Amino acid sequence: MNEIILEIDSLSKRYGQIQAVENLSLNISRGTVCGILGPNGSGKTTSLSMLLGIVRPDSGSYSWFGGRMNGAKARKRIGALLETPNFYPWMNAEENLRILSHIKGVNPSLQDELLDIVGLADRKHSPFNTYSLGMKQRLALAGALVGDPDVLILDEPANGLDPQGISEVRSVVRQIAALGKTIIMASHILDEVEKVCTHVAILKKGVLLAYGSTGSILDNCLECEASCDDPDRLFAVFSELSFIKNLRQNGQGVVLFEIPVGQDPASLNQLAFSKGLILRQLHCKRRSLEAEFLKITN
Amino acid sequence: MVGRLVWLLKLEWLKFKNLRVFRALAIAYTLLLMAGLLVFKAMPELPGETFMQDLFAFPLIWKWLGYGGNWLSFFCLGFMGILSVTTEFTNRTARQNLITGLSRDDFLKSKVLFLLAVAMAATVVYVLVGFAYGLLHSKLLSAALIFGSAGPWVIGRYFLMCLGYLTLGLSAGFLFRKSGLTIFAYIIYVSFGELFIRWVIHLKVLGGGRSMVYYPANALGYIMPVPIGMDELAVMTRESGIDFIMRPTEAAVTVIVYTVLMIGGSWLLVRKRDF
Repeated sequence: MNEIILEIDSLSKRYGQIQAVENLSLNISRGTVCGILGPNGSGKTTSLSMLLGIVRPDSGSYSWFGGRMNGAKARKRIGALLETPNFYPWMNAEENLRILSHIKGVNPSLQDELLDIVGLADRKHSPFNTYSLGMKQRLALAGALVGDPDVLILDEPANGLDPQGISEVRSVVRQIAALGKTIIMASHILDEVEKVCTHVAILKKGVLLAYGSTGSILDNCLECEASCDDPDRLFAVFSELSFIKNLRQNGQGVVLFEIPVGQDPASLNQLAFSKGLILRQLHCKRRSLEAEFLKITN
Repeated sequence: MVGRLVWLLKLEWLKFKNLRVFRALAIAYTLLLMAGLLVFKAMPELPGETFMQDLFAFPLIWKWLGYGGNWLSFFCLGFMGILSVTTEFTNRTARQNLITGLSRDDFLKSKVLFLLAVAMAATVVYVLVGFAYGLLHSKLLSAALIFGSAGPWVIGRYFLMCLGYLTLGLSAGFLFRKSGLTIFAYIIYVSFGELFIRWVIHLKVLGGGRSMVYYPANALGYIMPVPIGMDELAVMTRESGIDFIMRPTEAAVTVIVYTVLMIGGSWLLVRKRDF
């Protein structure tokens, strides 16, 4: 788990007036499932494109597999789905995967298994240009899995998929993650990232705003809400507690606040009861990645 | 080393063996090269003219077939050179090739190898068609007569011409990347653009002399020139002050230089630009 599989040092890229990526530095260990989050235009795809050798960085550097392999040799150990599925439109799924197998230098006979996994086995002889967007995305996922790569890079893997397809992608990603493979996944589906990723990187306007384990990003505090017959008095009682942050009322008789993760919510119930206030509800939950993402990026 | 080259060539074969437009261009080249000269058979013989009778016989067949092949190569092979690159950028498969693990150098090498193979195949067709016509129409046969004074070098020049058009298409493809734009630029450059650069900019504006002949499309035109009247035209142009006629060997050397330069330029583009 401690072996650094990707080391990024001050990577920058500018397109004309737009600074797409600025001084991105990041280390990713083997077995990490890293979610890259950021609004549109935050530099996610540009960053991944640089790491995959298709976009030249203006400055900075990166190394794969501890520097043991770089360039094309390293990319043969990486499977990637970047932006749109890119295949030869006049070829069918089997022929397209054969080209990927040829480049990677692996046995093409394992393709059928991959097409089975992504549910394209019965359409493997149809030309790529007859596929729906979802089918193209599935083929791209199969393409990323050719050669049993050590690292999987997925840029919006659920794009264009129907609910069943999204569920299948989630399942495939989880299966691969369970094998101890390293996965780097850019996604807008925060719920997905929260469920699958061990680490999260948040980008905005090309700048890395936060990076750490998903737990460390989310577990700083619990969001709580409480209600009773006298919310004003409850508000006054809680306002005397120094560990309570962001205390407010929502105007419907509910008191909202945040407490540190280590603080037991039951102590708040006891305190209120000792002051003659009987809580009708006390609900505390970990802050969602979506809330954290919005807080960090805004 | 050889295994690596075969691997790269096979990669291109896997990509393009089923591309319809490639098949159509290859078939068009072959059929038109075989049938193009038959147009002369339909023409009436003029009194005193002998070249019509000798057109299909050794050694004149190589020149006439080569001249016809020059036009076909400009269209069919030039377009193949263009499409071998632009289809990769239009469909974004060039970037997928790199992502999958192909190096930028290998991407270019596979293209150049593929074009070398196409140029060889086109030359083989030329040789086979030439021999077929020659054997059927020559009354006297001897080793010396088959290629005449030019010798078998005519086949080498034909190969260089094919490779030159393919490389011109390839480098244009790397420069513009979009199929439509590249084909438009290629046709405009070869048909009018280079003439304007040579005659107006090079000769008139910059005051250059005979060096105005050393341009790629011009050299490709003269490497397999129109078989009649070239000597007379050379005399006329010399009398006018500038000898703008290229000799086939001079044109061949110019084509070799430009082929190397165009591959070098493509290599720089592949190395420097984002995919």
